[in-house]
Amino acid sequence: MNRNREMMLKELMELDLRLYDLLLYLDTHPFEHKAVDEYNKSANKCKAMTQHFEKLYGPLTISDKDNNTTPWEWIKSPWPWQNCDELEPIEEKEVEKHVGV
Amino acid sequence: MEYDKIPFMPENPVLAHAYVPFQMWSDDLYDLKTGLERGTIFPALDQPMYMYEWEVEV
Repeated sequence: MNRNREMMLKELMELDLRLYDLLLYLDTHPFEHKAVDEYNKSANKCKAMTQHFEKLYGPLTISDKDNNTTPWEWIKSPWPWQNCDELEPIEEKEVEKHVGV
Repeated sequence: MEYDKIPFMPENPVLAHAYVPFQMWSDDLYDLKTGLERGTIFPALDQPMYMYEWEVEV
């Protein structure tokens, strides 16, 4: 059962939108320190969650990864047509509860 | 251009020119979930098109 994978992906999407919206705001308001604070907070959260996700389910984007291993990790992630409900986390440990905003 | 001194609306508007109000920061950002649902994290910019629909009486 992989509800958790889906939930984490959704939260990453939410964080990405927040980051992008703040980025657009900062294009026209580069001196708005509160927006910069929000951006940094969200960026750190996004980074932490991405790392956590990748540890459990493999790389999110292959181009961001620098220490590639053999076998090629990308191949371990599900193909778009695969049923994600049948996937097990790469590490068989209980997924830690992660904290949202 | 001094970005930190842009007013909400121009101080000396010129006739026949159109202006767009400059967005001001507000702390009431949407939470993560609502942001993705609404497509923006700024409540002030959450303006779906149906807001502008004419109320036609049949």
